[in-house]
Order: sequence, then structure tokens, then C-alpha cells
Amino acid sequence: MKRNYSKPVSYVFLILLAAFMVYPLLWLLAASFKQNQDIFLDLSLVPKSWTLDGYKNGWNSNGQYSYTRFFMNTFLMVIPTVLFTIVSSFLVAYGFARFKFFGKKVFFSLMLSTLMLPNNLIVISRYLLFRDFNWLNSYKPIIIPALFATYSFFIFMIVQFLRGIPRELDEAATIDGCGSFAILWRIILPLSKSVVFSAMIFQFVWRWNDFQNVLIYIDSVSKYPLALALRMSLDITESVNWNGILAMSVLSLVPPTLIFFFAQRYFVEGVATSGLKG
Amino acid sequence: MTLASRRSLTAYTFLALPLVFFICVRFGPMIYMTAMSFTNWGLLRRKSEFIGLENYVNVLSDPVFLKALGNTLQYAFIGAPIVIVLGLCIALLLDAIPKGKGLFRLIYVLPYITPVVAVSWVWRWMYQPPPLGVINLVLGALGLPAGEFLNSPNQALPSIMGVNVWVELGYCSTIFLAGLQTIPKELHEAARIDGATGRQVLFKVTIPLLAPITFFLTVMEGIQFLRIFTQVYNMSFQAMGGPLDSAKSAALYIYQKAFNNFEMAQAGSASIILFAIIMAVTLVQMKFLDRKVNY
Repeated sequence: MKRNYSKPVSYVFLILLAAFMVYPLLWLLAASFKQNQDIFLDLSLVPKSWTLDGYKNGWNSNGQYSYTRFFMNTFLMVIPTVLFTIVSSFLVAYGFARFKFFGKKVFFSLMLSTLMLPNNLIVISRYLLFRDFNWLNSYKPIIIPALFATYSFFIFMIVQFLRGIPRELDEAATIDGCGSFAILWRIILPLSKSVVFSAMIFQFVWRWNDFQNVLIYIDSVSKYPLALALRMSLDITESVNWNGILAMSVLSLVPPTLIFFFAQRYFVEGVATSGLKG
Repeated sequence: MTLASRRSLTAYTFLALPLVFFICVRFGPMIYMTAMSFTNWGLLRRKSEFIGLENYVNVLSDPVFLKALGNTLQYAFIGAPIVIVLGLCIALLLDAIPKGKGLFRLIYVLPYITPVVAVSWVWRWMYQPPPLGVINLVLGALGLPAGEFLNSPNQALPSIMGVNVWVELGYCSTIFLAGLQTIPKELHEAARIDGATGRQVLFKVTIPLLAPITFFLTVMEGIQFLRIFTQVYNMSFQAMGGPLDSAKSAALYIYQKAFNNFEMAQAGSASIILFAIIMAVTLVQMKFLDRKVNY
């Protein structure tokens, strides 16, 4: 009996919640099409008078560098980081999940302990280290650590996933004469699509939206990724060009949203079958 | 060479290079910073001398640091539990509906994938005083007094915490939902047949089976709130951390000490203190929750 009315109630609640979750973003979207003077006075989600000024002026930013540059910068920084993270984390995770070797337990718990150790606690000494490497004001502090599997969250995630793949498959392949790399390439990897995609979504969204690291490492405007460019527009234009800033915020959330939208089916599978299941 | 030792050699080739780098980039700095925190080193100073615990004494007697530390604990111990509980409730509701899961999930996760800088602006506008801010308009329409939100020393911290809850909620409910979908339906049916009520199924079957996910999320969200930085930076006037430091987090304090005042050594000792706290919290969480995980 209870079922008959509990579902409509669930729907009502979920829709109200959805409205609450999405209202600020819809306002952002609507405001980006409004005239500057209307933005803060017109609360409706449908602009009284539509304009693309926000997009035109916002894109040109302060004139020195346009958002073409800032978008390019972000892609240049994020895409290699994501690819390197996946490749390196997968190799390390394969090592942990499938091999016995001296010190494995110790290394694995060291790796896990850095999962608990937030990056921004070692931000100062890292800054000094990268300064000595002469990496400041470049994307190297973001990209190069990714080559060496330092984003331990992903190792953890993939190890847990690989543990779920039956070892018999490896053994059968070994009998057929496959080496370790062949097993990885031909057996494990094709089965790991979902975890690879979930790791990609996570890393893409996190790197795309990362603010603190780039704030510390990148100084010159010509190298700013979107997060810093948006912040800069706020600092220099005060309240003048609001629809421009809001329009650029809307554009900046398009790539992560698209990635999530197209890969979410893998995402759910990946999360459900990896470590989070225990 | 035996097969076993050859395999272990292969494993080392997978792991060797990352490990070396890992130690350089993760543990090296940690040790370096610990050493540095006992000296009077600064970015502008050439020589450094050993000064014992002076930095720690200075930091711990700095009322701003104590304030920031207290704020950080408030973010973590109030914010994270709210996210976990609400996230679980939403996931349970979503799991029960027959249609539209994917759409709702996408909507809920949107705040999580929106750049924090953009999120901060929208909310700064929503929190504006009466003629401008939408929240105050709603409050006014309901006949309630206007809130000062980000401009008030009492309300700045909860206001920023609320935004972070709004952001993290979609992430938590998505992960919980993924976990719920892996629980075989037969278990619920079996419990039903044995005469369990809906509430009993929830508390005796579903929630215990979600323990590993709850554990994972508690640790991750705990850390997420303990290191809160970007929202505080972008939502407070001139990135100062709210009126009278009322919303300043420890991470922001460390950043300002290091990169605005160039007092690297003091910032280092502040990080070590924060690190000790995070470690302690995580260990306690593991003690309490790990037992439930081994089902």
C-alpha cells in the first residue's frame, strides 16, 4: 500500500531538490545573456532583452589576451595531465594488483598514506622544490608529476578494480605464452574500460577546475588557465563587465559537463566495480 | 632465474620510476618542510638558523591561526556529516524511482563539475543584501528578516560551508547510488520474506552493505572540508577570509603566510600542525569505520 503514494512524493522531493541544485546555474546562464545593467535587477531566468555582448566582450577579456588563449592554455595543461595520469596509474596499479614482490605491503601503505595527505599541506615545500627545478610559471608542476603516478587516488581506484578481474584469465594467457605486458595489453586493458573512463572523468574535472595549484605556480597572464583568467577578470574589472565574466564562466563549464554527460555510463560502472565496493 | 623472481623483477620495472619520483615529490618535501619549520628561513632571507620550536610557539600563539584552525574543524565536523547524510538520503530516493535516475544524477552533479570560481560568484550574488540578492528576496517575501551572510562575522562561515555542501552533494549521492545499484535485489526480497519492515531492511541490510562506500566517502569528504581553500578565497572580500577572519580556513592561513607574507618557515610549521590534525582525524575514522567494513 505504502508504495502507491511514496513514489510521487519521492518525485516531488527530487524535483524540488533539482530546482535548488540547478537554479544558481540557470541564473548564471540567463545572466550571461542579459544587458549589464539588468543583471542584478532582473531576477527572472528569462532575460528581458537578449544580448550576446557578454560573450563578445567577455571573450576579448582585457584586450591583451583573449579567452582563445585561456582555453588553449587549459587544454594544454589538462589533456597531457589526464593522459599521463591514466597510463602511469594503470601501470603502477597493475604492478600492485598482480605481482608479489619484496616490500609490496610497505609500498602500498605508503601510497595509501599519501591519499590521506592532502596536497596543499606540502604546498610550500613543493613550491620550493619546483622552484629549484626551475619549473615555476609553467605547467610542469602539474603535468610531470602525473607521469609518475603521483595522483594516488587513481592507483587506489584501479588496483581495487583489477582485483575484481579473475586471475584465471591471466593464468590462461600465461599458458598461451603471453608475457606480463601482453596480458596487460590484451586481457586486462580491454576489460578495464569503465574504470579508465571514470578515472578520466575525475581527473579531467579536477584538473579543469583546479584553482589552488595554478594560483601558486603560474604567474604570467599569458599562461593563465581558465580558473585564473576568470578570477583575474573579477579583480580588474570590478563591477563593470559582469555579463562578460558570467558568459565566460558558462563557457568554462561546457567541457567538463560534456565529458561527464558522455561518459557517465562508464562512470557508474567504474565506481560501482572498483574500490568503493570493498 | 626462477619464474617467481622474474615476475617480481617485472613488478619492479612497473613500479621503480614512479616510486623514486613519488618519494622525491611526496615525502621529500614533507621531510624538508619539517626540517625547515625549526629554522627562521624565509623566501627573502639568505641564511637560516636553527631556532627550535619558536615557529610553533609563534603560530600557536597567533590568535588568527587558532581562529582559522577552529573554523577548519567547524567546516569538517559540521559540513562533512551533512553531506554524507544528505547524499545517502538522495541516493536512496533515486534508487527507488523507476525512471529518470540518469537525468536527476546529471542535474545533481552539475554543481560539482562547475568551476569553483564560477560557483563562488553566483553565490556571492545570491547572498547579496536585499534589493539584489535572491535569498534575501525570498526571505523578505516570507516576512523573515534579511540575512547579512558573507558580510557578517557570524554568518560568513556557515554561508561558505553551505555552498560547499551544495557542491559536494552531487558527488556523494552519485557514489552512493552506484553502490546501491551493486546490492543484489534478492537480498532485499529475502529480508522481506523473512518479515522485515522497510525500515529494518534499510538499517539492517542496505546501510551495512554500504559500509565500504560510506567509509571511503567519510574519509574523502573529511579531507575535502579540512583543506577547504578555493571557496573561502573566492567568496570573501579581497580573499581575506571573511569579516574578522570569521571564515578563514587553515589552508588559506598557510597560503597567506607563505605567499603574501613570505614567512615560509612559519607557514611550514602551521602545515605540520594541520597535517597532524588531519592524520589524527583520519586514523580515528579508520578505527571506527574499518571494523564495519570487514563484513
